[in-house]
Amino acid sequence: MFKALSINKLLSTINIPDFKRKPVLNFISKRSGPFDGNVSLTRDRVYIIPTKIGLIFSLLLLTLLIGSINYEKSLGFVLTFLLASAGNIALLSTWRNIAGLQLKRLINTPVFCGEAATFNVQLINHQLLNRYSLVISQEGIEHDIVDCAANSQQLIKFQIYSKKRGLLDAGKFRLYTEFPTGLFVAWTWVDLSMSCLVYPAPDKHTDTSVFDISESGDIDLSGKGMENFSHLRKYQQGDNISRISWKTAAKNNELYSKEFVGSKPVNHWINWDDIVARDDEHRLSIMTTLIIQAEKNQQHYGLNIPDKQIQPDSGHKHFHQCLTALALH
Amino acid sequence: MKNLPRQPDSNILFSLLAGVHLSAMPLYTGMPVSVIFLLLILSIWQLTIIKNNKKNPGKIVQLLIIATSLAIILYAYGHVFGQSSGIALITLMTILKLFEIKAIRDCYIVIFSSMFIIASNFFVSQSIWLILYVFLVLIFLFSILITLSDRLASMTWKPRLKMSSQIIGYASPMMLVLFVLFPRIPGPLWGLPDDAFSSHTGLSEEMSPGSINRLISSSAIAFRVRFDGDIPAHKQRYWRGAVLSLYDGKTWRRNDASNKALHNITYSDDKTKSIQYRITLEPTNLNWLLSLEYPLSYDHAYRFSREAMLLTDSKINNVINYSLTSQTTATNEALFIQESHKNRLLPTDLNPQTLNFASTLFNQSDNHHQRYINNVLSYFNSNAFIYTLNPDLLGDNAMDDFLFRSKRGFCEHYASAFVYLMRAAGIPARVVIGYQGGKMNPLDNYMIVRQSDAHAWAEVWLDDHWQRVDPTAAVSPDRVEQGILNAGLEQNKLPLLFTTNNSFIKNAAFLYDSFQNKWNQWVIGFDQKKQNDLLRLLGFENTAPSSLIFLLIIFLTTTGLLVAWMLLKQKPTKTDKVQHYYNLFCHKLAARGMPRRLNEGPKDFENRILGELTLSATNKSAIVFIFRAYRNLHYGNHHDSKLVDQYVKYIKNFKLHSV
Repeated sequence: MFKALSINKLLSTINIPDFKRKPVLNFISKRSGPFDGNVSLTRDRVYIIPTKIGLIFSLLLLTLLIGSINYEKSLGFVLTFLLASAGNIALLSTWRNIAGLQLKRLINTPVFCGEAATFNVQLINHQLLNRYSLVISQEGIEHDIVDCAANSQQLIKFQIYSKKRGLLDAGKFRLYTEFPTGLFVAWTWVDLSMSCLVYPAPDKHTDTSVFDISESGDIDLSGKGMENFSHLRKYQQGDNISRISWKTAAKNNELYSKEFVGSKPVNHWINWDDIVARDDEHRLSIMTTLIIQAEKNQQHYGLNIPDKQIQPDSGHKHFHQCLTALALH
Repeated sequence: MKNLPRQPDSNILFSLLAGVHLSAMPLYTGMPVSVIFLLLILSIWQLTIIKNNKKNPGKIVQLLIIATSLAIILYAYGHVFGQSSGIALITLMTILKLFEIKAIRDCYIVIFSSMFIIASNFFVSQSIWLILYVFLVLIFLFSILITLSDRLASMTWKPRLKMSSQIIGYASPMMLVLFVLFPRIPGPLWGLPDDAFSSHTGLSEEMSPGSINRLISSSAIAFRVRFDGDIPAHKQRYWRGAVLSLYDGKTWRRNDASNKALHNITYSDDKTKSIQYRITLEPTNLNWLLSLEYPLSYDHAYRFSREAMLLTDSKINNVINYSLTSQTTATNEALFIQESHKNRLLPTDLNPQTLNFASTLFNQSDNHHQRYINNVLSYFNSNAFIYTLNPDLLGDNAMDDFLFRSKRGFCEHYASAFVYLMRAAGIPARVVIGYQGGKMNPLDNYMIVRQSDAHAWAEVWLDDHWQRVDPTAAVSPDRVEQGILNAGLEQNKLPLLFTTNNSFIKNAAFLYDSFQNKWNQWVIGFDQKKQNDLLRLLGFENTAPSSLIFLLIIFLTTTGLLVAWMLLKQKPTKTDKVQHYYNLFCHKLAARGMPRRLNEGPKDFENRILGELTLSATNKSAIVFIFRAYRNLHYGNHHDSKLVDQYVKYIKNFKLHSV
C-alpha cells in the first residue's frame, strides 16, 4: 500500500526492539536457530531423506534384485547395482545442491495488519556450482522457487499474513531441494530471527473529513500557510511532493522544493484522548486512518499517544515513524 | 494457499514416450508383428495428442484400449501371464500409462516401468552391446528425472545430459564393487514359467525332418570347450546330447522313462585314454548337457541316465560351466528288457516298402547283424544318395519316400532312416542328437562348437553294447572327417562367416569370439563359484557370505567416500583465484619494500607504485596490465578465462627489478 522510497534506509533509522525469544534447549533448535540474520548451511544443518518417489524407486530396486537372483541374470545384477549406486549419487547430488549455501536475512517492508508480510532471504552461493530448484516453504506450503548460479546471490521470499499489529515473527522456514533426481529431499530448517513491523489496520468507517483532528486552534484543512512563497531549495528526501517546483525541475534537471514563509505551517495533532472508540485497538486503527489521510493531504501532523509524542512534520519518514509508534504501542 | 500438483509439459511427455521406446527397442525384434503394430498405433496417437495439446481420451476409451491390447496379446501369444507375453504386456501398459498422466508423479511411474522393461531385455540377450546400450538409455532416463526436478526448467538438454552422464558415471565404480562382492545366492528362488527363455536357436527335445537342417545357417555358438591335454580328432568329436527312441512316423522323441534306472557303463582302467575338458554351454532351455562318449566323472549336480545322457535338475537358461572327463573307449552295456522292446518299436501300417526292403536285406545278410548294418550303409553309399541342405518334402510314408524316391537328405534323414531299417530287422536302435566337430580358436586355444555343427546319428545294440553308427558318413565322409564346411553342401546356405576366404575377417571373428568368451566367463557366468575363484585370485581366502559382506561394506564405504569426495570437493571459485594471485603479487611487491597499505584500493596502490618507484619498461607495462586485469576480473561481471590465464602468467613471472 504505502511503499517507502527507501525502506532499508528508513528502517535503519527506526529503533526496532529485538524480538525476544525463549532459548529452547534441544539439538534441533541449536541447529536451526534462531540465528542472528546470517547462517551457512554446514553439514549438520542439512537433512536428507528419500521422497515418496525415492521409496518407490527402492521398491523397484528390490524387485530387480530378486528377479536377478531368481533368473540368475548377471546383467540384471549389473542393472540393479548400477541403479542403486546412481541412487546413492543422487543422494550426494541432492545434498550438494543445498549444502554450503549462505542464508542472509534482508530487511522487509512494514505492512498494515491483514496484509501479507514478505520476508526476503538472500541466498549466497560461494561455490563454482549452480544450484537449482531451491524451494522455500512454511507449514508445507511452497512460497518461492529459485535457482542460484555459481558465485552469485539470489533473493528468495516467503509471505505470512499478518493478524496482529506489532512485530510479526517470521519463525522457522524450510529451504529444500529435490534436485536433480526427485528421489531425495535435502532440507534445512532455519530461523533467521526475521520479523516484520505490522501497522494497525486502517479503520474503514472513520469519516476523516468530518473528524476534528486539531488541537492547536488553527484548523485549516486547505493549508493556507503555504501561500507565501519565499525561495527554492534543493529537494530533500521526505519533502512534500506538492511543493516540488516542476518548472524549475524541467529547466535545471534537478528537483527543488518551494519554501514558504509568513504564517507557520498548520500543525494538526492526532490525540489519543480525542478519539472516541470502542477500545484501544479500535482507537489505534482510527489513528492510523487519520495519519494516512493527513499524509495524503500533505498536512503537518503530530502524534500524541500515552508515553509518546511525535512533533508535527510530514513526509515518508515521519509517516512511518508515526505508524511504527502506533504499531508498537 | 495450496501446492497444486504440477503438470508435465509436452517436452517431458515426448521424452517419456521416447524413453519407453528406447528401453523396449531391443525387444521389438522378438515381438509378434501385431503387438509391434499396436505399439506403433498407440504411440502415433499419443504423439498427435501431445503435439496438438489435445485432451487425453476419456475413461471409457481408455478401458477400450486396454481391452483391445489384452485381446491382441492373447491372440499373439495364446496367454497373458507367460514371460514373453508378460514383457509385451508391461511395455504396452507403460505406453498406455502415458494416456492418463495427470501429474509429475505419474511420469516417475513411467520412468520406473521403463527401467523394469530394460531389465527384461536380459532374458533375450546378455551381450556386451546390450549393456552398453542400456547405459545410454539409463543416461537418457536420468536426464528425464533431472527435467522433472528442475522446477524452473532452467536447464537446457546439454547440461542435463552432462549431469545425468555424471550420475551414471560416478555410479559405475560402486556398481562394480557390488557386482563383484555382493553374495550370490544360487537361484532360482521359485519355479519359472514354462516359456521362460524360449528364444534360443539350438537343438530341441525332438527331431523331425528339417529340425537340424534349420540350425545349419546359424553361426551362433552352442558351446565352447577348453581341453586339458590332447584334442581328439575331428571324427571322434561326437558331442552327445539327447537320445531319442520314440518314433511316430514323423518325429523322434525322448523316452520319458529313461531317467530312472542306473546306467551300465564299463570304463577301461587305462587313464591315458581319458579326455579332460571344460565346457561353457550357452543357454539351451533344455535339461541335458553335451559330453563326449562317455563321461567318467562329472559334477554331483548332474545325473547320468541309463541312456547315457547327462541331465540337470532344471532347464539351462544361463551360460554354465562344467568340467568333465570322458573315455572314448568305454562301452555302454545298458539294455533292459523294457528298453530292448522300446528300441525296436515302429509305427504300424506305415512305410510298407521300407519294411519289405529291410526283411529282404536282412535275409540277404544271413540275419547277421553286423553284415546287415554294413549292407544298409553301402546301400546309402552306392545308390546316389545326396547329402543336401535342400531335401524334398516327404509324405506320410516318409521312409519310403526318402529311401526310394527322393534320396536327398540331411543328417536327420539318414539317422532316422538308418534307425528305422535297424528296427525293421528287429535290431534295437535309437537316434542321438548333438554336435559333431568344432573349431579351435587359434588366438585363445579353446574350441568353438556352433549351432551349424548340430548333427544326428544312430546307436545300435551290437555285440552286447551300444555302438555308434553315423550313416551320414556313408553318404558324405567329409562331414565327419572335416566338418560341415567341407561336406560339399550348398555354400549359400551356410553362414557367411564360414564361407569367406578373407583371413582378416576370420581373424577378427576369432578375436571377437575370444572376447565374447571372456565376457561369458567373467560377466554372464559370474556365479558363486566364479566369485570365490576371483576373490582367491585377489588374495582373499575366506569367501563365506559373512566375510563377503564384511568385504563388501569395506569396499563400498571406500568407494563411496572416494566418489563423494570427487563429487563434493570445492573447486576454487573465480574470485578466489583472482584474489589469490593478487595477494601473491602484493606479497612480491612487499618483499621489495613496496607493501600495500591497509585499505588501499588497487587504483591508489598502482598510482603510488608508479609515482614512487623508478621502473624498467617491462616492469611498468606488467604492473599496469596486472592492475587493469585485476580490476576487470575482480569488479567486472563477466568471467574471461583467457584474461585470467594471462593475469596469472604475468603475476607468476613478475619480478621487480630495481633500477
